[in-house]
Amino acid sequence: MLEAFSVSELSDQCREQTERYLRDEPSLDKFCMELFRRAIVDRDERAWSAIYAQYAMIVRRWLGTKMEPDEGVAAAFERFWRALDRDKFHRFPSLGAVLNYLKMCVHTTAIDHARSLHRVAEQQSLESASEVAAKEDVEGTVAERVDGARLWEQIRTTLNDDRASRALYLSYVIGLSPREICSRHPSEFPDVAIVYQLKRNALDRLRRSKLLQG
Amino acid sequence: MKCVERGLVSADDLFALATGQGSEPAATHVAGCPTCTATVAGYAMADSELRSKLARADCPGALVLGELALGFLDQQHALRVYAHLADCPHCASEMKLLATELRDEPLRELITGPGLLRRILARLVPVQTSGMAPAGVRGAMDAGPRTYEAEDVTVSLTDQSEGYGTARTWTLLGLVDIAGVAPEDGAEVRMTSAAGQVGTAQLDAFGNFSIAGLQPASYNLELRFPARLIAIDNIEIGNTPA
Repeated sequence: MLEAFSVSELSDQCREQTERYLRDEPSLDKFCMELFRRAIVDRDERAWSAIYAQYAMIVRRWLGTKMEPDEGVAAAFERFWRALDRDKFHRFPSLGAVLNYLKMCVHTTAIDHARSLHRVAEQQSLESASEVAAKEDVEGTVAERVDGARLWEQIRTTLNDDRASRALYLSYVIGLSPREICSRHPSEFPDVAIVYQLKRNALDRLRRSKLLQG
Repeated sequence: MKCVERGLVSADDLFALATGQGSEPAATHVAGCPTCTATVAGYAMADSELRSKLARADCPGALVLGELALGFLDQQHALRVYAHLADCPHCASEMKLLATELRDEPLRELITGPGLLRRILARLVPVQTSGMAPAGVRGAMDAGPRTYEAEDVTVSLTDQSEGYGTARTWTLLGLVDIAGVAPEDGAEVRMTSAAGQVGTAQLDAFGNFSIAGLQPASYNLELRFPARLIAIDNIEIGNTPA
């Protein structure tokens, strides 16, 4: 029966039923659900546009002040669109589950945005340090074009030492201080001095290798 | 070039200095030794660059955390992410945030939120021959009850003062009636002035509320129900003589 509805009719019904729900009145999920099904399973562009129009304000509300609103809403919908396919859609038991997934896309978009801002700040801090180091004629740069994950794999391979790799992983990848490393992993690292020694030896080896110069 | 005081400080001392943890004697030596200054700077540079390049390099994307929170990851993938969460306080914190955000039914929160509520401006009923007296009010009232209506909601307001001179303050007393039925217990009342929010209260089971400590001013009042917000603007408080 729902197959006979046009996108426009479904969109009108979805809007009306959503408004009823928000007024705490009895409402039906099936029209919005069919609109989502056509957008995700059938990849129907008109259904997708209707979903965007229907839920953009709600997405904006979920987003709050975590991102610039237009950018955040567009990024969250794009994430939702890319993350879902026919198989995943059929795992949703209800409209509430679909909307919870959309809400999850909103919040994970905001989290990735925050991570990105943090990374930019770190990079700017590094650039400042580089200027100081250059003045002191000190060499010692990590190959800049290698991304973090790839660089980490190269470091692990170069060190070929599980304990040193673990100390560097917890220090630089996870970002723990030596004291935090000992506190969280006392059986592996019972003493702060051991962490310093492992890190210093590892850095010496990396600087002697082609990976780290200086 | 060699160290000016060979053997005085160890490589570990220099590394500790490079990461901001060195001892004072080591720092004094480095200040006078160009070779050790360069070594410390080299360690600091490498430490800083590794920190920048590797920070969270192994963390799963936030979408993976979200799918874990909603049970969309297969078991193997979920176990790998849980192992990472045990090591990584950043991801653990993000996971906790997601779990909180996704805990409730997604649209339910919007019913009570101000953004999507229907905002209904109440109107002042001009002739107050049938204004209700707020339950529990004792003592003289500074002004007669004012009655407002919005849809099926009637709100009766009066103010009452305490103290004298500069210490004098006012309390707003209200009684809410919804078409003769019991009001929704716990509905939130917010009072604002030009300076911002000045007080909040909750309706009791009989529809009463009070907000104390008010200064003479013009206020706006909001009654927040699950699907609508009743607004009463320009409530004058304290405009009667002491």
